[in-house]
Amino acid sequence: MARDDYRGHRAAGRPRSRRSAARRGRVSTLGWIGRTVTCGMSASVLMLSGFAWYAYHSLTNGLITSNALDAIKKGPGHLDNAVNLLLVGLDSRKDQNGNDLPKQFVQDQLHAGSSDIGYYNTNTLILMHIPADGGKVSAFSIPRDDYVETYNGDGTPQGMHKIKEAYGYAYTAAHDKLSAQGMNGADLEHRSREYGREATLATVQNLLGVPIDHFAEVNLLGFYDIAQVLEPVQVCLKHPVNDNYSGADFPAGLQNLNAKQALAFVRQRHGLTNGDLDRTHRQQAFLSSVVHKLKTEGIFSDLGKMQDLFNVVKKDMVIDNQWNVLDFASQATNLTGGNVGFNTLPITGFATENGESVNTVDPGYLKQVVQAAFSEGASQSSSGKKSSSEQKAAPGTVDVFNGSSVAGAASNELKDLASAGYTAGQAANANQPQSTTTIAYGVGAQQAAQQIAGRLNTSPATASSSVPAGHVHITLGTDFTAPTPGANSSTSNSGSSSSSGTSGSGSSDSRSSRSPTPTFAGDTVKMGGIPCVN
Amino acid sequence: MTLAVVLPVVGAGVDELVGSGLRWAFAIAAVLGAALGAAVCPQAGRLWVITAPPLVVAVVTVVAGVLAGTASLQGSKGLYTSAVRWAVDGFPAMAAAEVTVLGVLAVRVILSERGGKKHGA
Repeated sequence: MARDDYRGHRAAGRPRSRRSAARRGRVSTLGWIGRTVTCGMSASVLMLSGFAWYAYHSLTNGLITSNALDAIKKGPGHLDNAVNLLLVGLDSRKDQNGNDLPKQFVQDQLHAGSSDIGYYNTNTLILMHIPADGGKVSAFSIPRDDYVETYNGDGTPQGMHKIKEAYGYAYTAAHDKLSAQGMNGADLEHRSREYGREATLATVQNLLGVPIDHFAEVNLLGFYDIAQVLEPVQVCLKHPVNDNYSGADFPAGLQNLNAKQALAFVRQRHGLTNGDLDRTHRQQAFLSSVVHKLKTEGIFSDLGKMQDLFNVVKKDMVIDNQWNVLDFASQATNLTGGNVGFNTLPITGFATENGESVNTVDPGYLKQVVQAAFSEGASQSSSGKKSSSEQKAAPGTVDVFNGSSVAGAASNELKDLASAGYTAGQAANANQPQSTTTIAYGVGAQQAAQQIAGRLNTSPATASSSVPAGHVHITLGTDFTAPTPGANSSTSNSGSSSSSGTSGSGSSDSRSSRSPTPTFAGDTVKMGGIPCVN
Repeated sequence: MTLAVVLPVVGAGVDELVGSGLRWAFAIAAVLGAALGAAVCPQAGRLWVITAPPLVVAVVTVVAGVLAGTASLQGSKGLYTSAVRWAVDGFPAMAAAEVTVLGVLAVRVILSERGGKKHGA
């Protein structure tokens, strides 16, 4: 009965039923399309993510990492999210496990003498500053023979040595100690090298007064292997060279180098006008050529080629354990964009110490130069400027407190800073005298504080919740000396290069005087092509 | 079902607050959300539950990256790098949530078949 009623109802309403059936059909079709599209998108997202995850981990798994950065975390802090990266070239003729490289290979391919030569000298030290949000990347080569106070990773001083020797001194001390404890073989080598790395990082950080966030270490064999993957690498020389020591025998002009020639190119120092300083420019130029090649040949986007390169990197290069390749890739896009300037840190002259030729340097001036350049990078990245001949004062109200013994020092310094473009706040006496000049800043005044710290050559400015937002508090210490009247302020390094190789402009007594225009050792090498060098 | 979406969002928030990027809290929350969704969904909604984890995890990962300011969206290079980063960060949670959904649904099918047989007997 019920079925008859139902049939009767359906028969009576057949036209409407057809319409609803048609609507149901359309809805069903749309539903089917929707489900198909969603399934397709879901599967695609899952597969693409899986592929990216696999590719990333197959690239990065197996990298040799070091914990050495942990030793220097008590050093100067960062004022922004910029990254400072130290590249270390180790002049060791041993593999990662401490075994001597084959003698024939060392002589024929590395052109590097016996395994006793070179020891654990860090013959290449390049500190790169990558600003937080783009902007110009600054890179500084530290001449290997700079005679400075070297440190162990725990902060204890080693004494005055060439900067390249910090690694070796710490390595040897650790090697002897661990060996006496019964450690041997590859484990002994690995642990001893960690002490060497810590010493190098601590020494550079102390010398330049800036934090080191990451580092990468490569030895002679590593360089050779990487160059072999990349060969031929095109470089450019201003003059022909023929040097028996390094094996460099090249005509002037553009030329393609194989791995052996590439090693000779970056190691030659004999027969060059400025010796070791010119050698730093060779290394800078080679880095520029490699990045140019990687970019123009599309190696960055070629997974196969990247894998070849990473396979070598995994074998021969040591990086810090906090290095995230993706983080670095997102921070370092400017490295490939040509917005990188290499300079060699200035020396004040030459001397003989313990029977060896060394470079004399002014550590105070080096700090000033590096901090100013890094500050300029931050300034450019925030303002979007590509270059500037003179650094503009960042927004900030400056309050100066006199904790020195010089009467009127606070108001004089405040006037001075106001004339430099900072907003003048108050000048008053500090609650109590203090020995060193300090700078603290409130929210939003970090950049101004950083600039002023570079300008006054103080230790890095620190954030403080007791300083009002937008303000910078400068407390003058007894180390403060009044600036030279009428001294011109500039913290730029743009176009300020010199071929003299030495700089006499900075002195350790120059604290609180205006930052001089930095004079670097040799010309600036700009990344983004194939620079011609001596 | 709302929990299946809310939980990964909460997990992502916890991870970002801790400051370590998307890690364990996000992955665990995504798995819990997927398990709950699969456990309570009606039969007609199973397909949507199966397809949801990759899309939900991907969207949460991207939004968390943008809000946390860890992603660079400037230029094609920055976008490309960020996309790779999101994929690498999100995939473990995505895969774990998907496996969980399939597992829970499989258990439900087996249990309902057993229940059917008991009724039949």
